[in-house]
Amino acid sequence: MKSYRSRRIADAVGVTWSFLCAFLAAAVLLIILGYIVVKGAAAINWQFLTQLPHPVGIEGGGVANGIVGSIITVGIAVLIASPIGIMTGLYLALFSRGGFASTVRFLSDVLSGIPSITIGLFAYALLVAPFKHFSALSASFAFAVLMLPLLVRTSEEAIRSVPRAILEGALALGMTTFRSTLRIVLPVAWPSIVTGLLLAIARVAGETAPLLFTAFGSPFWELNPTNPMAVLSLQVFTYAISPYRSQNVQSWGAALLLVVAVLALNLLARVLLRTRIRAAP
Amino acid sequence: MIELATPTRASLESRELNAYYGDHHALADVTLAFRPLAVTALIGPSGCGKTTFLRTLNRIHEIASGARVTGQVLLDEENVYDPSVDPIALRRRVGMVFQRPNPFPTLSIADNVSSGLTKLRGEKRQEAVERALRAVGLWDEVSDRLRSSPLALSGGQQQRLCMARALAVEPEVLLMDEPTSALDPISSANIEELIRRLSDRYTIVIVTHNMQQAARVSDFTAFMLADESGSGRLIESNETNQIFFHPQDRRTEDYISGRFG
Amino acid sequence: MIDFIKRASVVALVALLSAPALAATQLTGAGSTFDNPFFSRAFYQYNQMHPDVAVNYQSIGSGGGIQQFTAKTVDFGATDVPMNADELNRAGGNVLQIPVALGGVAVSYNLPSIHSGVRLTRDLVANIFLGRVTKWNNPQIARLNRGTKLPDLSIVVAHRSDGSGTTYIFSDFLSHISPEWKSKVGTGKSVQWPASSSVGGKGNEGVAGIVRNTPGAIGYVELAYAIENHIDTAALLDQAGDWVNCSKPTVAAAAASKPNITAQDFSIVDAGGRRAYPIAGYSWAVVYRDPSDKNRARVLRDVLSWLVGGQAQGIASSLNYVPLPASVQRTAISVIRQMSV
Repeated sequence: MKSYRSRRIADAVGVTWSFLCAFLAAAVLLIILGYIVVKGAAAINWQFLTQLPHPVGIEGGGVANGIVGSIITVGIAVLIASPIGIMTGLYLALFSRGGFASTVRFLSDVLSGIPSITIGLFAYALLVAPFKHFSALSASFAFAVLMLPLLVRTSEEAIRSVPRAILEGALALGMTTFRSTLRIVLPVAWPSIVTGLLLAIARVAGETAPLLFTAFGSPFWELNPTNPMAVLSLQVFTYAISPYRSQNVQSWGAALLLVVAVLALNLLARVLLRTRIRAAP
Repeated sequence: MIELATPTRASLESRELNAYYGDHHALADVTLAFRPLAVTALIGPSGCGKTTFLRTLNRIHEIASGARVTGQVLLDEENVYDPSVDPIALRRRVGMVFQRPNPFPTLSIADNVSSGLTKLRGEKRQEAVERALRAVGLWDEVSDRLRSSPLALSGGQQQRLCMARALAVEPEVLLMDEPTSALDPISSANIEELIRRLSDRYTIVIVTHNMQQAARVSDFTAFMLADESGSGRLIESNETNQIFFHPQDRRTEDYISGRFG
Repeated sequence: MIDFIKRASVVALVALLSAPALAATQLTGAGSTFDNPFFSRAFYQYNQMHPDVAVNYQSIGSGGGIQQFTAKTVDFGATDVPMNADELNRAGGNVLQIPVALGGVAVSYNLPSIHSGVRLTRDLVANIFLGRVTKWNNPQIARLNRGTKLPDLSIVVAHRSDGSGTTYIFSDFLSHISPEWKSKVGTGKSVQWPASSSVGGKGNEGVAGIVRNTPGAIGYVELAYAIENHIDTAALLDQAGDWVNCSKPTVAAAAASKPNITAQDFSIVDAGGRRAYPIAGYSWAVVYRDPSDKNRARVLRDVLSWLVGGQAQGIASSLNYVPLPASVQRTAISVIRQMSV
């Protein structure tokens, strides 16, 4: 009886302890979010969203080119990374016989552990230095490399979670393996893959380190991805270390935009995942 | 009611067939000829290799990693394991229905049925869909919602849809792996009736753990059992009546009487 | 909501289409963080006057600027310390170094009772940063600040943890004042801080943050940063025996006392002169003398010539930089003229 009691006490302590930790983690996140909202909301207005940056001492100005630049660089990164990442995930999920697949999986895990600045430098060495020209494209490449391991993992998981019987059903009809996976298996896994893609986008959208030597930044409107381009996260960084209050405030504003975008992506991913769970047979 | 192609008398038999999953010798020396245009039931306790045997017949066994096969499966005297044989072409001649209904969840009912049809287009394709759905007696139930998801159908309807899907490619042999094990008794009865009706058009092989079902639907029965090392072996095969009432082998008799007793 | 999206997309489209056509020539530059507010404002102004010329300057730090300049990924670099022989060697080709901006380094402190102008001699600054003077109520400090009650507080030395031109100028100053500093620590963009109470912070804001939050702390930040953020700074005793605060006129006086600077002889710390603040230095633009694209080279020459001239230096002054003395402007122009275009 005594041991039952002491076990119950130990259990209660454990539960309380883990609850406190969870509460603390959530509280820290909420405090950060709240702080960014309080600090950033002051900067956000119509001008901030639609105007080019103004230098210190000139009233107004915004981060419109950074918003557009972020969309362009991340968009191109998605175009580069998603076919490669999804197909690799597909390969690992369906044809993972023996050594090669585990090598690929291992390399992908290693890749996900490489600091983003290193990947930025790699993109610089590959796409900037030889052409002697900074470009949004090199940033997209760095982003794509950062997204790749995430995409590989989530795609593999998503495709693995498709019942094997569905693939076999397609094969048994005399479809080729390629056609079976592309036409039958992939569409079933699609919501989970898109969820992974959204999370990967959210992951890179806030990255600054790989941009310093790739996208470079720009005070101008720039839509051509072969030129240096403004990116929101880079603007956050530059404005944050500026000695001027007005720019510090803009930094908080840009940070708020980023946080809202990342939050929206995460929520969208959750919604997608929930509809998928409901639709699953 | 059934308006499928003229029946062909495809002969199917296995010779000295062995199947492996990695180190595990799952199937040992199975030699068995299936009667064309008849239903053959594969029975035996769990782990006796009956499903593995079925899956070697359309070469779906080999897609599992580490899986391999030795020996021969002859379809119209041609060894389907000959390197020159394309498994894709083989599977169009030897259709398969699985243990659990596995409709393709992202395709509509009609697209499920036509998913194996690579050549037909337009009206011909629609006709093929209708023909297959009629063959499994599903047409009247779904003709008004061909474009909707198969997931809204009942389990029995889903299984018949999967049969329609298999039949649409006009196979000669139909393999069925415990097709009613996930269904309620009424749906099961429907499927059994359907199997009986299809047996004059197709060579059918059905795996079942349900002795009564084997007795009801099959013309021939093969009894399988795993040996001490876990390899599935064919014990005896004969007309279903003979197997159930005059088994030649002691083990068959034990199994059957155990079940009935 | 839909209406808002419609309206927003229309506005965005109009903004995109009505955005000034991209300039015929776009130059890129990178480097010194110190130069960034001045450069971005000046180049913005230049673009208003010459819509066909756009200069994209990004502050990635002096070291990064030299690196990118050497890799030829930018048209010009900017650095708070001129490139040394080694760096010039690596850059290959002939490099021109042009003084473009002038600034001071203020000594900031945190003493709850004294909100401005605590007095220190140059020797005392050296001894504090050497870790020889460790208490604010040290008699040497007390003697200079009669009438103020100095607290019994330990001195905490705040310094830059990142490589920086500000550290270079400050350590250059200490090397001039103290032979011991010169032999033990020396001059550099980052140095080994000898005081046992040293704490590092990244950037001006890092050092300012440590000083703000640590009673008894002492550190050094750029003049423009100190003014902009209303930071308490110490008054130093100059060579002539006057107490001088770090300010635009006192830094200008220091620069004026050494009119002839070059990229090899550029130090103006402890330069003497009346009411001259002893810790100051120039920032430099670096370009190749012989760029391959002559069209761009011409545009770059015009931009730089304007940058060191009166109008642009006026802009610098409005941002709390110190305008280049006339003699240095002339030096700069003569270097820029060497560009082969």
